[in-house]
Amino acid sequence: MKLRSFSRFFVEASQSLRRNILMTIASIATIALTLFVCGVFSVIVLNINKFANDIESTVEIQAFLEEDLPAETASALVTSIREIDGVDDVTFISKEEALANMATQLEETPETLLSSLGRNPLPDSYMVTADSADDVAPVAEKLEALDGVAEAQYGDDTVDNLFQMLKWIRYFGIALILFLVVASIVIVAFNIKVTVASRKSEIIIMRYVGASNWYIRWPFCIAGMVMGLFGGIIAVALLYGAYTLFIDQFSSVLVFMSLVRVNTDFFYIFGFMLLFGVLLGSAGSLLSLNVYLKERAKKQ
Amino acid sequence: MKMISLKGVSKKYDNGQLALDHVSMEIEAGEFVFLCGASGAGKSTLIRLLFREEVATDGKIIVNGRNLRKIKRRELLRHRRSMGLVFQDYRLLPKKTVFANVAYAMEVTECKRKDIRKRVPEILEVVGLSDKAGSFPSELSGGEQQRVAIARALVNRPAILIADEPTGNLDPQNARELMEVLKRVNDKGTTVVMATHAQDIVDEMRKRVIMLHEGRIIYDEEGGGYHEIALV
Ligand SMILES: Nc1ncnc2c1ncn2[C@@H]1O[C@H](COP(=O)(O)OP(=O)(O)OP(=O)(O)O)[C@@H](O)[C@H]1O
Ligand SMILES: [Mg+2]
Repeated sequence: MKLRSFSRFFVEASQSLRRNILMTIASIATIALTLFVCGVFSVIVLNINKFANDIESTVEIQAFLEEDLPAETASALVTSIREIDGVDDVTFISKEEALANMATQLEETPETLLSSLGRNPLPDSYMVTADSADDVAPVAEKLEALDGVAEAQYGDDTVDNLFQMLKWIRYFGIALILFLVVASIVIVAFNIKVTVASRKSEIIIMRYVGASNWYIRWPFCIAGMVMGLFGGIIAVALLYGAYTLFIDQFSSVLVFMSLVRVNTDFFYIFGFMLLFGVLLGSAGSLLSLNVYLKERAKKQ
Repeated sequence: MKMISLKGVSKKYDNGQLALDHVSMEIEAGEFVFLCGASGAGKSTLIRLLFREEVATDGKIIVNGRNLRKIKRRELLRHRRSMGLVFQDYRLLPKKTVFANVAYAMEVTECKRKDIRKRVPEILEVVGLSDKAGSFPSELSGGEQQRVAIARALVNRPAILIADEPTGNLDPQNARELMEVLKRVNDKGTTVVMATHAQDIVDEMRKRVIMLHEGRIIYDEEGGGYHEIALV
């Protein structure tokens, strides 16, 4: 296909978009709506991810050391712990610090606590955080296997259940987006099919005159891309406006989770929406054209 | 040089209808040939085979040196562009002007704009439509629309012009004018094949007549006339 043909395609495309202005508006609106819903779910998934990560980063595994472990052995353990896969951060907590922490929690001074207990019952320990929630259990297991570690403890069933739930919410969001993608391609294809059907005789004439299939396709394809791009721009603007408004109104109410600000992740979503709009538009027009371009599939 | 050659060509449609039955013929370059026969005789089918819109069920078709059975996709496009097609119902693009309709046939071959600007007025002159270049098909008479279709068919200088009942929708006066155009085109060397059942035109032109009946050639004679089938 030569370059000069493309300037013709653009003229053809813009003419056909203007001539079928109602169909054009309907297609743009459909694409915009689809992309907006996809965008909303992407933002929800983004927020859930952040929420999950916030929680994950707070889960700590406590590795209690055996009593009367020599100080050198205890401090040497940090290297072995760091070598375990999935370990993010390691902090040593001496038995004195542990007692002080406990005293703070009980709102007493360490001295009074010590005197009422007689002796410090708490062992030295390492506070270990994992890279992700999935790593927590295996890391704890490996910690317990280490020489010098008496026991490794972390969270409880509630935390486990929360992680499980978050995982399913994420899967659900992805599945929903996939479903919407398929649904919107079908809707756009149907929309464009109506336009193409009204031009069926034109397409047949183009073939008689010796136009190649791609020569016929390009103007439709470009028209689809333009509609997709417009739909994408509208959806991005809507999403941006709606989300900034949402943050303004609700971030003070939703105290238990901090909302994602409009950041780089958002620009990926916006970029994806525009790109996807263009793909959606062109895929829709190509799909609906193929019916008429198949060899020997037409009657006079 | 042979332009069109058919050997034992049969065409059976998917519904079992046998439209052509062992047809053989040869047409030389520069000939003017009428394809005649009653409705359903197989004229349009033969034209569809030549344009390779349909493939023959049996037999061998060679057009302009190309064996249509073995033709490849890319070559098929070239084959179609080497033929100009005209139909009874004109088949113009309704939203394009006369000029744009004719130019479109050049654009699809990715011609230079300069060449298009030069060639389209030339060919509109040939069919006598220079003053209608800016009109839309809906603003033209049937005869004028058909001449636009002929201009479009000829604009790429095809080796063969094929017309399927081009005068079918025209009154006698317009039909006669159209035949004048076809004759001029043929005089300049283009091979013309025209399917028709317009008896008076065939009789008047005294060109080669190939008569089809139920898919078979029953008559093929130089300078023949339509009326003579009655004698067969
Ligand atoms: N696409 C098709 N599918 C099935 N049968 C067909 C098809 N096209 C034509 N036929 C049949 O093939 C036979 C020849 O048809 P064709 O159109 O070639 O005749 P024709 O000579 O052009 O007739 P007319 O003068 O009416 O145009 C007819 O019996 C017709 O019904
Ligand atoms: Mg016919």
